[in-house]
Amino acid sequence: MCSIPKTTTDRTWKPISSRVGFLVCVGLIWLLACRDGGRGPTLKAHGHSEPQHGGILRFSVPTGVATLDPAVGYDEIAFYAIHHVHDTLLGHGTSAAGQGSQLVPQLAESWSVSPDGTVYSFVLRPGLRYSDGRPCVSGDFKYAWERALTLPKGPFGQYFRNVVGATDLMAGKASELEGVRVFDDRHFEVRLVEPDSAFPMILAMMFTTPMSRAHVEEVGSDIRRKPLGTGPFALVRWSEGTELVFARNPYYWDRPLPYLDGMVMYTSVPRETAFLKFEAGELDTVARLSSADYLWLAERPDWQPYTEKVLFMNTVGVRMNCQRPPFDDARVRRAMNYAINKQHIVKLHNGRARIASSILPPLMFGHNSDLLPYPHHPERARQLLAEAGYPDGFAVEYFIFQDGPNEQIAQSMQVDLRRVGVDMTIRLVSFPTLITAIGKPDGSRFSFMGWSSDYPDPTNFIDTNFHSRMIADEHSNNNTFYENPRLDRMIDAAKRERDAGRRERMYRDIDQLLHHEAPWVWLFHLAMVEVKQPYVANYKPHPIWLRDFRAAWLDLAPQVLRGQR
Amino acid sequence: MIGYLVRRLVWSVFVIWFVVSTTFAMLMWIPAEPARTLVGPHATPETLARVRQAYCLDAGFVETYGCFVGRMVRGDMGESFRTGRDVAGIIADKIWPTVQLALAAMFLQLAMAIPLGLIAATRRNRLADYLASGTAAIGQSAPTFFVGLLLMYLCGYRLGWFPISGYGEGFWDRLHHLILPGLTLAVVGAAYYTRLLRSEMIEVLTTDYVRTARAKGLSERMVVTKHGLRTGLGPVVTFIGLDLGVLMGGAVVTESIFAWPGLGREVLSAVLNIDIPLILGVVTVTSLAIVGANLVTDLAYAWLDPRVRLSA
Repeated sequence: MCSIPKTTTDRTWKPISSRVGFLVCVGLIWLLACRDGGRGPTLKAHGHSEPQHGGILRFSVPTGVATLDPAVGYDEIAFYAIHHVHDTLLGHGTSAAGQGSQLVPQLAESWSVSPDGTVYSFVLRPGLRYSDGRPCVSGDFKYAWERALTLPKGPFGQYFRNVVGATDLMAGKASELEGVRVFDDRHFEVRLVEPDSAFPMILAMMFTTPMSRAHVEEVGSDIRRKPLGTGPFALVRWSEGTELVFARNPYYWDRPLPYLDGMVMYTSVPRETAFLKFEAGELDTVARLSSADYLWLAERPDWQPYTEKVLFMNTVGVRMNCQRPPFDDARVRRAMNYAINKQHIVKLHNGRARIASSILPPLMFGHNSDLLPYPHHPERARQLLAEAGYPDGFAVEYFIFQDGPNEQIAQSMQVDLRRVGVDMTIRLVSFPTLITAIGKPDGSRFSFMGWSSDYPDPTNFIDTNFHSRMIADEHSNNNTFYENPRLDRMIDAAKRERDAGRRERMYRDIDQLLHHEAPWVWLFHLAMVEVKQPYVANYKPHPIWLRDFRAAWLDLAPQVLRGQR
Repeated sequence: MIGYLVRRLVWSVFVIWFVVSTTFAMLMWIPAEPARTLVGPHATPETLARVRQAYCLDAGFVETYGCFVGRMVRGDMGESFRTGRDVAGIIADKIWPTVQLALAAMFLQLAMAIPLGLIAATRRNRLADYLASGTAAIGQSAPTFFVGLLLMYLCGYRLGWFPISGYGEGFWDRLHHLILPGLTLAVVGAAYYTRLLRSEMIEVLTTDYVRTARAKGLSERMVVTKHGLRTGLGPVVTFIGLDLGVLMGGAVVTESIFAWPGLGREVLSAVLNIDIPLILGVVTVTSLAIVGANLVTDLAYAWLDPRVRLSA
């Protein structure tokens, strides 16, 4: 309790208040200004030339984790955790070694394909074990795949549709996956209905990871928080809403990985808070910075050596409903591509993006690097609109959801389109509302659209989004409703083609056709920027997984590493 | 008194039912498909149909209402769409962090507001009053996210006195983590209570019994603390009850900034994902807390003042 003056006429406080006020002001100014020069990396790398074992790496994510069940989890944040706990038959190389998008054998020691391209045979590595020591055998793959296809909430059935018997299993007409034959603990084969060159890529998706039937039955519905995998780390503790703690898997097949003793993933830490925690040394890496933090960082030479920028497999654009006027005319769609200033949009992302020319991202197999993005050419846009019968433009509603600079980008587009006579109004909706609105033929005509790869093969971008087979009355995957029999034939032929060179040329042609037909306004490919502490070695963001710490190590003095870090 | 109590209880049940049903209707009117958020944007129409059926989302409004609200009446809040966890379990997990934050905020705001309110009232229209009232006005008008980030930057990052965010483990570590989010909420609350206490005390200090106390020769400190403050705190205590009810609903912004695993942050995530069972569960608990706090306050009034019982 404060002291109460004896009388209300006591005036002794006056000089004291003035002095205290003055001191408080001086203190605040000191706090805000004089220590700014000290911001920068504090703990330096020790300078080891060989990877060091030990230490706990700490990072954060902006939301919570919904599930660690690989047959259910599909979002980026869940993948950060899941792919460190589970390995798959085939996988993607580590980003630090520059092999991020390459397919490499993981749990499979070797694999072969039959001459007709429909039978894949696998040999597992000898002595594979889960992180609790129990053996991992061929039957665990079959069990895990059957489980993934029959879970009511499992979203991955479509990727296995081409496996013999998968459709019957999903429809409840069969009790097992007929196309998978297990010969012994290390040998099994998968039969496909028709050849599919992208199938090996699907086998690098997390839902195909093996699962121990005994463990799943033991933990029951708790499987979402009690995963058991063959990956580099095992989950030790999950305090929901706070953190996930991982420890090195002692039975990991790919020794000497991982170098770290463990990881802590702090959940639901907002971007601004994460950067402060990183600067204060409470985090070892930080990604997806806010614009303000990124701009600050970009001007700091002391942080530059530790900042990594990696383009990942995504394309962002504006989708148009190609069955409804005015976007049923390719000239109008091309006009929109000419009208919008993408250079300005990339600036709104503070340069953390590259302008797109078509659907396939630059690192993707089949990307046509000869294609140039549509230039910003309002005059050409007006001309095309006039040819298409819209000399005075038209009015259109643009659907977006709140995320990063989406709203500023929409405003920039609004100004660009007004110059060519198109009156665009912005409709800000939630993400669930957006995906519902764009999936219906009579829903939104013009909206934000982004696509990140589930697996790094062009089929994932092209078949799903532009094959007429993917058009539906509700929740249509082909949400531009673009229908072109020639494109369908090209897609089907490329999918069957087994010669890599020919296949690549086919996708380059498809990329070019889509560029010209312009069912989207091709905007940009986003880059992932991550800053790490100077002592985090052998790590940069992964083009598929974004964050993959299996090969990372901490270059700290042995005594520092031993004393927790 | 029993009749009054019964009437108030029936009314409370009606209010909770109304709030839950209105929330449900609003969720149904959102032009979005909850099943889509369950399985992601890449799922096929067949998967969506399967999920809709499994989660009672393929029927009309009345049937769906019966399915969700009927289940709640039977005491089963269902499973979260997003995580598959039992909603009652999620709320039980999240309510404790929220209670801790609410109590810390309440303690800190009173610790700031009572001295400031007293100073402002006893030194009315002087510099101390202007400083206290000015501080209160600033506290009341500053957005919570700004106060939170400022405190985090100054006291967490620059001075390193407190952890920047998180929940902490063990009593002292938890307390250490609790201070900044508690203070963030308290700054806004303290501003309000300071102004309330100031106006009450100004009125009380001019009453006859206070004048009598002064005339008896009591010291000003005794007059203010023993006689004035007791009466002046009356409305403050009333608001504490109501305020605690609101705080129990979770402080969305503060919990989000400080990564505090409470109910407010959970409900934000539930709303963004249209997680119907979780939203309904949290809304029920929040309305129970607010209605409960109101009920207790009203009953306390009725107990203290028989006229309330008669007029109700």
